[in-house]
Amino acid sequence: MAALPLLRDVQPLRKSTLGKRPDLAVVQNRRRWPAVLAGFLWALVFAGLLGAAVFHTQLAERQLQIDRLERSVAAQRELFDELRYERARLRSPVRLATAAGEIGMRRGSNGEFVEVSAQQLARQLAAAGVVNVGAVQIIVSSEPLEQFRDVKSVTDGQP
Amino acid sequence: MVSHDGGSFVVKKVAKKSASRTHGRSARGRAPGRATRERAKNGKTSATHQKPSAKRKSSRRAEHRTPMRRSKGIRRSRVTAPPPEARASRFRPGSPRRRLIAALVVMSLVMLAIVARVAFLQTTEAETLRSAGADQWTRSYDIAAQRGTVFDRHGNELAMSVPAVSVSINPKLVENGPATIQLLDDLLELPDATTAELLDEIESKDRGFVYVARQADAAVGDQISSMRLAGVNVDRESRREMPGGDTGRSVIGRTNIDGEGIAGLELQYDDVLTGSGGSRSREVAPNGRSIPGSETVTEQPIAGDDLVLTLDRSIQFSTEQVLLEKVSEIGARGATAIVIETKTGEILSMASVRLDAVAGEYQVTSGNFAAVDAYEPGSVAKVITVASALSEGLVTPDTSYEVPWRKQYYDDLLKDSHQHPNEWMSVSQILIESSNIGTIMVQQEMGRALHRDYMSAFGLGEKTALDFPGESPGILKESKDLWGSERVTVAYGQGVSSTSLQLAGAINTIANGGTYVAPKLVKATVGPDGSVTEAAPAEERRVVSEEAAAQTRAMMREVVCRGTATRAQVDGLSIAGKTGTAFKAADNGTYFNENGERIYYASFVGFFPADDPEVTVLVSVDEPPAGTNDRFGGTAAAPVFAELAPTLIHELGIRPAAGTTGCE
Repeated sequence: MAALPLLRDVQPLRKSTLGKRPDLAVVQNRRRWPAVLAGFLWALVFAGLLGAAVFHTQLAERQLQIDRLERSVAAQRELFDELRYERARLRSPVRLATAAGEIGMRRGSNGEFVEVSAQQLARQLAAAGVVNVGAVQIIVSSEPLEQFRDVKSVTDGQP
Repeated sequence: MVSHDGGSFVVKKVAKKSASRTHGRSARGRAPGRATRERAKNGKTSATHQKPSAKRKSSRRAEHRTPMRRSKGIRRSRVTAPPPEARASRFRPGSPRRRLIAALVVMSLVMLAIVARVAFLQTTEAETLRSAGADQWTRSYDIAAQRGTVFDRHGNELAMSVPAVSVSINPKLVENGPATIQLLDDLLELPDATTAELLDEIESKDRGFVYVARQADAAVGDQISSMRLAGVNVDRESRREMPGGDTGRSVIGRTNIDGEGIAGLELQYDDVLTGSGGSRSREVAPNGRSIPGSETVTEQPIAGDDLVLTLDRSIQFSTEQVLLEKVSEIGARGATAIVIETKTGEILSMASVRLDAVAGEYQVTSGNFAAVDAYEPGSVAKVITVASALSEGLVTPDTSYEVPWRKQYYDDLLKDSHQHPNEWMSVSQILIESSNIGTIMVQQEMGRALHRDYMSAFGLGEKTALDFPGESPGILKESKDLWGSERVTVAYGQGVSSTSLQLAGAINTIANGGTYVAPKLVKATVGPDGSVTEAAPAEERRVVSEEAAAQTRAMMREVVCRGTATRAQVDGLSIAGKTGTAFKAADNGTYFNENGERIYYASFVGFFPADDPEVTVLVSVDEPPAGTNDRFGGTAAAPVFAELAPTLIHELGIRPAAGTTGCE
């Protein structure tokens, strides 16, 4: 602002000076580093904006993945409950009794206690085959309550 | 006066006033131009100096003026620009300092206003605006806590929640209503009345929300969702299911459509099973998708605890089945049965069946009548009287009394169940033959107050530790409050009332060596993290001596082998028990129904193996047919016990001691 001449200080041109050749001076080459710096800054800003766009896209993809996973977890949990219900229904005495009745089975009206000798028991075990430890463990862990507890302990606190 | 006339500016002036106006303008600080000054001097407008041709044109226009305008002497003239010198003088730059100060002041004022507004928004209205903004871009969802599962003692599901959906419509948004409802009807199999109501709602468009179906199948809900029908909403919810059908329904109870317990254990343990709901709020874009990188606030729901009951699903089912078969066979009103593990008091099954008047068939009831209905136990209570007297040492099993078949007590002539001559009967015989008069004689040895104390110690007259919803404490009057023959009839179970649950607990005391064990129904709870918390052991207290209990057990074994309960025998198994055939008080205050027939409550309570009991069973038949042989405890209830015993032996793995036979 200070460099601007005030209008009142401008002297009107005289006619005698109009015909004269203006004073000329050698102008030195302008330094180029400000242009380079400006260009660099411009490139930096452009790269930053581009990076932000890419980052935003990545975030969007991750968020979509999270949403998909959450839906998948919820769906699997629902499936677990549905299957648990179906298994409980299939194992229920009501269904078993109905199915047994359909093939002609009836509940026994009396019981008879039979003493089983150790030899007979051993023979029966041999006929049925040796039960390995792993199989026993599988059988034990297939108890509904145990399985349910396992799942519950794993999913505790999950969305 | 300046007007715009045909693209050139003209000044309409009154000649007499032009000078003063011009002068006035210069007086406001503007330098008048030369021409203006001349005009002011000559008292003429600049029009007088115009060329003749222009003057002619002006006079021609004047001819067309209205008379009034002519009369006022209005004249027009062109505006002339002031000379350059004057312009230079008028539009000089002025003082930049002043301008800067003015600009600074203006900017400061603007900034001040902005700051004031920001401060106002950030303080006074901050909360309102923040919440309003949050409402626009955040969506909150309630996350329902999963209701706990009810397991039997082996981990089999008795009641559990399964995924379901609720389908609703917004009648104002539904397009092609009849077709939409037809589609929903096909998928959900709606009742005709519901379909008609929905069509009416769509027609009227009065409401914005109407339920179509609650707790519908989740797969059907997915189908409906995939169709993206306008105005049709599908929301997730859960449905309470009992995979075993009605098995255990009397005990488990039920929930309402919102999943809240309203009966049975579902009600009693509602706060345990319910858990606490959570919520999730996330920032969403207008299309409903989450905004990437935005914050999602999730308050995790805490799933309800699971209940592990002492019930055994197989035994529960078998108990219900044998009860249903028996009441159907004899035409009773209903029946209840309880199976208790002798030493722990854990209830293995508790069943109630009753004739459904509407359906016309016997069903497992949703009400737990074994805990809710109190009735006069009748002869089963003789066990309490005899055991108490034995424990007090007032009698021995061999103590004998001369017992008539009937005798006057206070205002009543009381009788035994059958006529017999006066005979000497031992205490054992009194119990085996179920003599009312003989039992009164034993009670009189004790005195009414002591007898009453023993009955209380056996658990009569107060609710059990289960504290089941709606459980009845029964009626056990203070001895001083007994009236008339009640003073003695309480000895054989009339004039006192108890629930099946109380009675089973009382007789289980004898089976358990004289120690009362409170009935127990909940074995453990499973927390959200899968951890198991065992329930506290059942309360125990000694009621009668071990010797008295053993003596009573021996007598009860004889009851089964050669007394009134022979139909409770099971081959190869030693069983002890006692029958009861009590008069049932009707709603009219008598023991007779509206047809004048006496109404009964037939019971049998037994345990086995008699020498070392593992399980105690009480069977009560409500209103067996009067006038038939099926009205007695020995004929209506004892056979149910015998039917059930093989299942119990199998399920519990009971093995009688070697050499033990039934009654041989």
